[in-house]
Amino acid sequence: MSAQPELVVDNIGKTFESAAGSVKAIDRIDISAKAGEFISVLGPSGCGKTTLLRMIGGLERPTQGDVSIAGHSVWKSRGGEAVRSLAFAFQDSRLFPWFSIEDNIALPLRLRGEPKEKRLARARELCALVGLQGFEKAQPRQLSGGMRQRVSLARALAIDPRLVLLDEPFGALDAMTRDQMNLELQRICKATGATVLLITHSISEAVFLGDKVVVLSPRPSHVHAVHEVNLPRPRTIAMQETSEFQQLVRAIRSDIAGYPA
Amino acid sequence: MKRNSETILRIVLPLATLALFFGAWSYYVHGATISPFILPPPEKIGRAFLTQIADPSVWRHIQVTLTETLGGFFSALIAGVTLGALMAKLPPVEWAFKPFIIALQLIPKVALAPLFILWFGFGLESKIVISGVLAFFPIFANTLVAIKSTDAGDREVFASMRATPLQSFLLLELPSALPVILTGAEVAIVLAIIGAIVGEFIGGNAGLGYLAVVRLQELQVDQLFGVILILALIGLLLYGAVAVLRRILVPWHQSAATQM
Repeated sequence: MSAQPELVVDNIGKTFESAAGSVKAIDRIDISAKAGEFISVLGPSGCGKTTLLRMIGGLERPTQGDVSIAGHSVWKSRGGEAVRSLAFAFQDSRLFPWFSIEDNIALPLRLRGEPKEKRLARARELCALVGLQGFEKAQPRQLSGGMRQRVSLARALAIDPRLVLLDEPFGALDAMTRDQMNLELQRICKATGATVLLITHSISEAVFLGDKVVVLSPRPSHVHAVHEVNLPRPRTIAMQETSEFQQLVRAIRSDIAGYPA
Repeated sequence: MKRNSETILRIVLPLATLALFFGAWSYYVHGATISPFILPPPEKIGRAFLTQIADPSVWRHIQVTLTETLGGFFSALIAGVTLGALMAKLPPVEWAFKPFIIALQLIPKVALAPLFILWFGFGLESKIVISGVLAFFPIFANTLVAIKSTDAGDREVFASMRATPLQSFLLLELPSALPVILTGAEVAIVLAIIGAIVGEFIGGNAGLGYLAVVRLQELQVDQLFGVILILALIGLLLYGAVAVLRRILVPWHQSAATQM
């Protein structure tokens, strides 16, 4: 069996046109990931990380290049096979207060016309997976920030996606909750077997979670460096103190320091 | 301790204001040269109110006014939400009609009441129309603005889940607009009562507005005050009903907790 990559971001680029002229946000980016791999993408603010994620997810049309998921093109095929197999989670949990927790989690299935029983069964399953058993009937306003992010993650997993796109999902949480959520994220990703692409500002978070860390350059961005993370899994908080971990963090930090001014 | 005394003051002070008001009123009417035909003493008004609500013919008038008000309000609710939502979702519809709706809003609509009497007769229909026209605008304007201002991040979530436009409308835009639409409805219910009463003033043979005119012509000022009191109570009741509706429809929203 040939090891066809699960996710291929091929020569993708984006130039914004406006009355004031055109701005090249992303020069060209190539990323590839094997099935089940966890890719962290790091970059300075304004380098177009979110634009990259939206292009991969089929929300924003690239001005060059394409993305394919399990061989299906995101931008060239009309069938939508590729975009149906991916899901997003955003920095804000973005739960809808007029739905209960289980209805929030089951929302993507509702939009796909799944019958109620089936989608609520799936919501219960996902509540258990993200550690929120017993909160199925609760309202979003009754939950803490960390719990809301768990729900947001569960919602992304509802359609059993091949690819999960995470846009700084824990960026708004405090440091302690964030460590805890990263451990949980690792466990949940392993349990689902999905390929994950995470965008973050935090070097240690990128190393802690990723099999690979892709470092982007400032705008117009391209891939500045790719680091393989060979730390054993499951990773622990204590592992962040090892010299191997620290070395990687230092290497990435010097990459970023080496940006042209 | 401090909490407690504040709670007591919060109850006692408005009651004291009320007592002072009625005391001054009573003292003025009994002591001064003012004719009780112009300003009856409060106790007389209280008696007039009680005799009126014991009178079945008054209840018929109450029923008429309530029918007109609710008829106007619900027509305005359906038309306002439908038109507001259509314009929010379909810009050409907005371009075609909005200038005229704004122009209509600028006319003092009460001035249109005689026309509606001419077109729709002296019965319930003309009052429902006046009431509805008055109540329409706040519901329409709030629906339009609320649906247009759906949070961009929330829209992005729906887009990322490949929701159809209809799904986004029903599951995102409409529910998130509901608190603001209900605020429009709170204003509208009060306007709907005004519309019904104005209609009855100028061309009616039933309803509390008509009854008020009759009491004035009979120079039964205490009874006139009684009618006004009944109207105030109806207003309170209907406004309270919309507030209850808010608690039922949007229990998740802040406004449901802070109401009344």
